[in-house]
Amino acid sequence: MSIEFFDPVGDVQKARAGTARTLEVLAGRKVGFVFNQHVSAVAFWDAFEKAVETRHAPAHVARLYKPAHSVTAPLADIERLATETDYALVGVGA
Amino acid sequence: MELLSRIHSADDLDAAVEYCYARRWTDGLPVIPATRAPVERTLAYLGRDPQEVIGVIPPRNGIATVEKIVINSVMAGCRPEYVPVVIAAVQAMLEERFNLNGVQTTTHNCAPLVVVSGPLVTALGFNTKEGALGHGSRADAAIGRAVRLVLWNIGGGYPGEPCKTTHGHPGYYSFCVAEDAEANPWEPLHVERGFAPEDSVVTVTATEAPHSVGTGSGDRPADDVLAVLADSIAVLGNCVPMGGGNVVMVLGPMTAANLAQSGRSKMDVKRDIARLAQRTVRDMKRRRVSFEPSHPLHWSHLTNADDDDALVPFLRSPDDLVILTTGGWGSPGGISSVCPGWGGFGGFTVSKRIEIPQGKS
Repeated sequence: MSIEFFDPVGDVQKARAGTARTLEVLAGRKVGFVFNQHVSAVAFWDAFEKAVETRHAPAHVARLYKPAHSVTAPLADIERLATETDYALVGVGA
Repeated sequence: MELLSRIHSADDLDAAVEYCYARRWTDGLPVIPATRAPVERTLAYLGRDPQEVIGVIPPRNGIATVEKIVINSVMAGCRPEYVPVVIAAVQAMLEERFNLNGVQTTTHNCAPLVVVSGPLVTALGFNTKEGALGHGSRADAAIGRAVRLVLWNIGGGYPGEPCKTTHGHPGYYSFCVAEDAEANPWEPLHVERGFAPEDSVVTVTATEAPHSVGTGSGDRPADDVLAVLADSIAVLGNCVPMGGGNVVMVLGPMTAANLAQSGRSKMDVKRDIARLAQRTVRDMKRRRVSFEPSHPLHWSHLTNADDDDALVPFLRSPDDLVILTTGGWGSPGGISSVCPGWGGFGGFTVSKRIEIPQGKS
């Protein structure tokens, strides 16, 4: 006699679909830097930000540094950054 | 009763158990295939809509409906009356401050420790004597196991990808302990955390495996006992000093009685341990952690980092220490267990009242 049993795996929540925008040029745009502050990337990130600002001369710079590399940035901060900037650069060291 | 989960079949029980392994529905221990009868019996006990969403479990972002939690609880060996405890634990882990996504994926060796306190401890038959943190009771084992299966099957907490825990620890299979109201000389954990005495409450903290701490015989000076307990926290390699992590300290009854007989309240004990759990700047400079000294969570902000003899506290606040009493009395000496948390990254202690279905006890 066969045995029947239920599947324990949960359905996956669908991510909200955003509107993709394409930037033709970065110069004069508003940039956001999202950095997780991992020690392995501190020197790199500092140089990276300077390089972006020098090469692309953004009109505005916003920074969102996570309190620690393993902590999720608060959603409200991400949403605020999205409204303040044209593009964001996300940096992860580990 | 209409359920939405897909139904699978196998020729017999042996084949069904193997099918669960083949589908990766377990982390290595065998599971009980969730057949219709126990699932429906549990849902009837709960009296909740099977499709009620309790939350979304990271990192896979699986939707934890009541139905899915019940299925995983049945697979873990839960009786229906255990499942409200599982649901409360899931709700607690989904509080933002717990950072479950981080807990599930960190390289650190931490797993959610489920602490149960209140009248349900006796009603459900938790083991609060010898082996309280280990083996010997269906309630402890099955509830801890159900929480893990929820994290596994709904949350996708598979080691390697995406979960990077370096070693994990045995508590990843099942990690549940209950407070012994009889042996506890102070207010219950849940009362300390703002709940009514008649409530039953789940308290979760992500912690390392328990480390045994010998605290000596019951007539040992309480100051010495406190020094030993504090020393078990102020270990250079642990995460606690990075940003104010939590620590769960499971006191054996002999140790708790000794401290209480010295006239100390539980808050006194927490304050004393927080005051004593420290290391010198000289020692701390030998730690090479993943923060620059400029980082706000770095220990150097807590003291004069230029003075090698200055002291660095491991606990930012007495409230970062969770104390409960449970376990066997001991014989030549009392034994306690310390479970360090994940530092300032998450896994912070969260408590949730266990909602017992109306008309049930």
